[in-house]
Amino acid sequence: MTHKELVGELAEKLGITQAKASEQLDALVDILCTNLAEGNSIAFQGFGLFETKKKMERIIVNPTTKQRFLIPPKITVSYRPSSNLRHKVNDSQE
Amino acid sequence: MTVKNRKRTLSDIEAELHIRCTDISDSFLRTFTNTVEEYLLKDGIVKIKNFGSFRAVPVDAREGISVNSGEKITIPSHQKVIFSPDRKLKELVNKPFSVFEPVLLDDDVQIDMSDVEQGNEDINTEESTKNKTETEYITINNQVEGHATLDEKNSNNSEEQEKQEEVALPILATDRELENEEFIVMPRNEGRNSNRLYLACVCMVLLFGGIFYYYVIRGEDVQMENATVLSANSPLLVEDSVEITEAYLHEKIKDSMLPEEELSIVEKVKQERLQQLAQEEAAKRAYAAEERTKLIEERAKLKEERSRVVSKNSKSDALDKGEQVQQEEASSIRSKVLPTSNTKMATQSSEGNAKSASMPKKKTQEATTATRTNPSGQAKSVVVKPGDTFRTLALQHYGSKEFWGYIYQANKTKVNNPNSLSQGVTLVIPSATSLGIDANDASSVSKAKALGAKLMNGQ
Repeated sequence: MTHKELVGELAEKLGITQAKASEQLDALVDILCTNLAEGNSIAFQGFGLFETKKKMERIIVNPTTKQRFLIPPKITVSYRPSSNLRHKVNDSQE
Repeated sequence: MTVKNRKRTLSDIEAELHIRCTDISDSFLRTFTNTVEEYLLKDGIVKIKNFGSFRAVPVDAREGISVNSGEKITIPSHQKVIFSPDRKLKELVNKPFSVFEPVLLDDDVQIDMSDVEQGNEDINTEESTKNKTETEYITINNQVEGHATLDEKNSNNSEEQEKQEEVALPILATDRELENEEFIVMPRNEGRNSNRLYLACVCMVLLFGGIFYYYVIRGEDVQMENATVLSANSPLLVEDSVEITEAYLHEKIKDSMLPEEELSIVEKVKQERLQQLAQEEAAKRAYAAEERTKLIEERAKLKEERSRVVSKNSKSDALDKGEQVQQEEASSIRSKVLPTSNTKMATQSSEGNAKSASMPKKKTQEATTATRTNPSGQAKSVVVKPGDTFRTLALQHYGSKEFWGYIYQANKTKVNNPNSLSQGVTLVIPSATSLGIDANDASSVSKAKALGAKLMNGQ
């Protein structure tokens, strides 16, 4: 499902125009990004948890040149799905 | 490691959404989550612009251990939902650390990749087979993004992460140790370099000090010595040299601008030096006076000897008279100049032929050659035998081959060529005392050599 399809589906379900749905979706994405950038974790009940994790610096080796690089620390976004979603996904597979 | 500033729930986000979009429905968020779930189950992927993509990824069945019983169990194949954040979200979240960039470690450390890979396999047996790194590099601690996935036991997941961190820490610690070693080594090298520099400076200072001492202080001593020598040779210059030294010391004192206390010390030193110089000058004057008296005495003796020789030569042949007198004079002068040879000459003059007395072998040879010796030291005649040359005759009669020229000069009328001496010719051999020659005297030998060379060139 692409972004466009999601916007169309939301517009259809909410009974609003796609432009309005796109605007509202963009607003939601903006809010989510802002909160994550601030380091806040966002928990959607029944869907999952978005949080940021700090990865420590590490050393990697280029296998061809054998050069060693120090990779600096970084903050990444991690998503942990809720158990409800995991069950749903696995049930649908069965 | 989780950064948890604040936990936002669905209601918080809804409130914010209502602030942003006043006309938004209350069920927007619920509809959004339901739609994503629905299409995840349906399509397996949901993409949201500027946010990321949700994917349902199948996980193969694998063996595991039950946490409760500890028995081996088989974890069945299942699906897990993973979220890949968009590049913009990544950059936005990583903004605090965006200034850092990967740094090439140029520490000449070779890492055995097989060991690293084996270690990683041992540590992460379960995840290393499934998680492929996003980059082309092989990571050491094998912490790849997206590890936090749909595992059944969250506690196990957190434990594994802790293990990974524990494994990663020693590796980083070794790297830090290496870096620290570098930092330790650098000051040592700097210390060695500074020590070397210090030693070089000390050597240079010593060298320049030695040169300064040799050319300046030594030069002053040489000047002083020269001045004293000049004063000894010419007594009139002694006072001048003293004045020069005084002037020199005054100039030095003025140049140095020493304090008054030091000036007094310098004056004392100067006075001592002047006293020493005066003593040396007095000693040299006395020595010069003695030398003068000796010279005067020697001259008187020389005159007496000359008069004696003249009286003796008046009795001998008229031809040899001039040469003998000259040679006598030369030998007497030499004896005066060289006091060591003076006594020898006296013994020669008293004994007559010193060579014949000191060499018994030559006496027997003279007997075989049927010579007519003259005990008074006058010339003698010799009949030439086979094998005789001027050199052999000179060796027999004078003790050195180099005196052959004198025999040849005495017999020039009989022998034309010194290289061809015919047998049976009677040669006149003048006495060594009349010629003033001595085989032990280096000057007479060298003179005889010069005479021989002159005769040969004339030939």
